[in-house]
Amino acid sequence: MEKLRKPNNGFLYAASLEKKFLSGAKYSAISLKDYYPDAHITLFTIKEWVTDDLYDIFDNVIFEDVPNNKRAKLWALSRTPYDTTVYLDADTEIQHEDICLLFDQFKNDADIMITKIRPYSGKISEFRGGNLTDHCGVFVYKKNDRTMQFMEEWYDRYLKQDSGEWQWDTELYPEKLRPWDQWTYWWIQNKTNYAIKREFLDDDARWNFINTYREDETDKPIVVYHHTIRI
Amino acid sequence: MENREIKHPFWADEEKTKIICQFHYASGEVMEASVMDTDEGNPDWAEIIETFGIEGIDKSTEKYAKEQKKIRAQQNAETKERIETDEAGILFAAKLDAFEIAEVKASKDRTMKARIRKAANFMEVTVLTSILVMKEMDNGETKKTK
Repeated sequence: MEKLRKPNNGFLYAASLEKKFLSGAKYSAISLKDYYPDAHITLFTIKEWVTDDLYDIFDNVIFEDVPNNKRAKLWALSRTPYDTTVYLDADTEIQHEDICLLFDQFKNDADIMITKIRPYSGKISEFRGGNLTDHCGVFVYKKNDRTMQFMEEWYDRYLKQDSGEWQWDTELYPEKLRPWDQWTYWWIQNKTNYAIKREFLDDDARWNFINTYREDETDKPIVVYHHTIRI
Repeated sequence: MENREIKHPFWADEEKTKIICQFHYASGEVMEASVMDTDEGNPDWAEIIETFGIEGIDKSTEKYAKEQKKIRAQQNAETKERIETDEAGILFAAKLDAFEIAEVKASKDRTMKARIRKAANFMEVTVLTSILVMKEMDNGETKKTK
């Protein structure tokens, strides 16, 4: 009898550079396990921080070659062990059982399902050359060739952005965008052939409720609460 | 007449006896000056009144006051936001620390863990964490004695 292939879904965290991000990822993953005990969770972190207790929380800890820079997240995305991955920032917290439904939210053959930025909540979202629409702190993505290429390009371009090697027209895109990976994402989606098909999650605020959001952003229980503070 | 231009005058007092303005010199240097009239007659004062007129200085004073009010409001809002962010950061750090405690991390008491996560202040985090740790230690002892 042919063995049915089990859907390979899981959650991904990345923690590097400062140990507080590891504490944050653990905190978030414990909350995830509280509401979804069967969740598969992978942590990407640096070798020096790997301790036995991490395996009590994470099923999978990847540390080989993980770069110790502030965007190890982007490096990790293309190396996900899952067919469908939920990426969660380390300063998130799961607050509801519906978290298990996140994998079922794909629509219109999207490669990535994401939430919208609220301009009143973000520090930078609008500029002469366009406006950032997608919040890159929580998203679900599929492992297919174009999405993996996108993720690799995201990391490569971010390194050039951060080092200053990538220069852009600052009349259209202010220099203050430089630290943000959301800007790299916007550029790749809007200005390159690496773009992937993106859809927004329905009732998106409950899947990534930023701590500065207005309470009326959703009338359903919040699933992912996002602290977005300096941890 | 000196080789300079007077700009942005406004009244420094309600009695309109003092004017603050800027002297822009040809060299590019800008000096802020406080100008008062004198018994002998201050030529700078006379020049300002002649150039801008009393009404003109009234208007620029009003404009300056509005700008200052806006700047102060913005500074206050930024300070408030910074304080709130710092406080929220300290509270969140306390919660992270709580979940580094072995008993809390391993606890199956989802309700208590959720209460710690939702704690609104440092004291609440401390008290709830203590209760959970004691409960877990007690459970551990109970299991051992069985």
